Amino acid sequence: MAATNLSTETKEMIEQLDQSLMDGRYPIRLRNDEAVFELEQDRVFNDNWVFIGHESEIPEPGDYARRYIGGSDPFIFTRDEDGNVQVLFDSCGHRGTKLCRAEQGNTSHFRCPYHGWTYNNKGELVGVTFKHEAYKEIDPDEWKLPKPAKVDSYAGLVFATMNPDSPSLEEHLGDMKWYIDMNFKFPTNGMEVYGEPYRYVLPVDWKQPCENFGGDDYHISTTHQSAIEGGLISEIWHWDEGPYGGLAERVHTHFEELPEMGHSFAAGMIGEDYSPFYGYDEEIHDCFSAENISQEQYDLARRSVVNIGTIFPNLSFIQVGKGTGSNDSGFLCLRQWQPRAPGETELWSWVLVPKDAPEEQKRKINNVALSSFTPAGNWEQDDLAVWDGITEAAGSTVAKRQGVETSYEMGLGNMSNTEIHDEWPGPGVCYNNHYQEGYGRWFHRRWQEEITKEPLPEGAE
Amino acid sequence: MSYVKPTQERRELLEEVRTFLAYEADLLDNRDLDEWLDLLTDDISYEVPRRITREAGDDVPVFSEKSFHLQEDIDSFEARIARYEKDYAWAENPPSRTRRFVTNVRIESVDGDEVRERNNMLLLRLRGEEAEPTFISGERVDTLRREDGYLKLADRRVLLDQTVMGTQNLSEFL
Repeated sequence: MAATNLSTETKEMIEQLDQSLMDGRYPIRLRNDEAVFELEQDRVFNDNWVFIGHESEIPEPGDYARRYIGGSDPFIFTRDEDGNVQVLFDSCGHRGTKLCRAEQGNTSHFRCPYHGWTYNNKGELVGVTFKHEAYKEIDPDEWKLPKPAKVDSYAGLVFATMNPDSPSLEEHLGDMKWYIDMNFKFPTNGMEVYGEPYRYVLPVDWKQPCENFGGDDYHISTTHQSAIEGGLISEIWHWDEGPYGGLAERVHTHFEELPEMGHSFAAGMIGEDYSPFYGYDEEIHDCFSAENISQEQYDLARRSVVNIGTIFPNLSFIQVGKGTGSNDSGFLCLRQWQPRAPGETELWSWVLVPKDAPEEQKRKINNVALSSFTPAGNWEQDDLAVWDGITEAAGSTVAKRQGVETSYEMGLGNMSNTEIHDEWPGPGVCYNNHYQEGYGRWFHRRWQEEITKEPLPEGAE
Repeated sequence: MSYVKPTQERRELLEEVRTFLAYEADLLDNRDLDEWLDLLTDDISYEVPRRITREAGDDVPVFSEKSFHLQEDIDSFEARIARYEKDYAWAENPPSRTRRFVTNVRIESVDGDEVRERNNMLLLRLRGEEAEPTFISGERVDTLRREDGYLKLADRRVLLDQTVMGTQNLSEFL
């Protein structure tokens, strides 16, 4: 099947995107266009480091979970008998049948249900049915399960890239590691996944939630007004009186150079004298220390009420204190925005808890997390409702032919009162409040960088 | 082993349980959530676990023991309902139209004031200009308790058929 033609209009939008973004404009068409979706599959997801899962999801040899690169390319995320993490293309070398038919489980071998070829959890072909009669000269080395070019992990987060020319994972994450550390390493023994990821199909382009979690604090007072007025927030938000929604400090950080361009981070903190630690109960504060992070990172985590961030292309996190009416706690959620079709995304959402917290605390943290940031949660329910219409508008002929644009002007020139934060100890370009849309401009700028790294196909009339 | 032939007493109880469930579904479909709250006991335990596709024979349960779409008690239900009553609760403004079909009600056991029953639930949801509904289906395992002569919901586990949810958000009680 021939690839969908890129329209001349859309092609022009992509080529001029850097200029548009500098002017604070983004052509909405890029959020729902068949040809753009196909380019993203090839050039963003097949060509870059993408999140596969957390190491704690597969603690024992033989543990496995089925995962996807680019939303639909199937892989088995497993721990082999030597204890090493493996990422294997889930398709039998004989006819292509999937080998892993459950979402999660434990097995030492994957046996194809069609003709019975069997692979170990290193992806080696170890069994061929009726081999001596049917396939006596087969070379099993030729029929190992394909693997990504590179697999690596950072702070328990496992990523893979299909591109052998990708830089190392360390390089891809670059200075964003500083903020990952701050969120995943302040518990002395780290974070672990609690339960299984929630999966919901959303009628919105994957880039939309990526930038929302990359730093859109501007939406909170409108989108989440009912949750705020309803008191579904942790008491820590009321501990201090600051100018920014009760907070002493709100910061926004993005990156304008490769390799970090496209990653971003935002935080809200209260005064020096308080130690909310995102709202985690005081009884587990002894699980936290500066052992694996700098004193500056630890102090910021200590004062934090909310942290959010996006790691290009499609992994976001939020660590925040919320309340449910019966529980009040901090929590950490990882969310991966998996493209499924133009204008359609599957959300994968994991809850993480400090590994050393007692089980009773883990249950409470988990309860507050699922009551806040899953599509059934009091906060996320409304995010998903207000994104209605983006896909419809983006897919319209008007968006294509008339090139309808949306505004990303906040923080440019004298538009808002935001200023560079001179004292900020962390890396990146940091602004001293949240009236700033650099997170979105530079996310899309990085996207353009990836989409145009090879010449674009010819536009069609 | 076969089905148990209902006695006259059991038939009457079954009729009452069905009446309760239909009344409850009606309140939820009409979003009379405050009145729905009155159908719950103060110690209500309510869970909608995440369902996971697992190999047959796997000894790990298909319904997660840790991950739940909803895991509520009376206070968290009250907080959720208070939020829905605000104009800015965008998930339900404009409100979705829902239709609950509750069938296959079977009484499992009766123990003093408590009736343990299971039923099948199909929920159709339409939002805005949607012509096709999204649906949620599953089995509900309930414990109903008689208080002041009337049945109330004391415990519910909703065992969904979906592993991947096709609704963009879940702003309904099941």
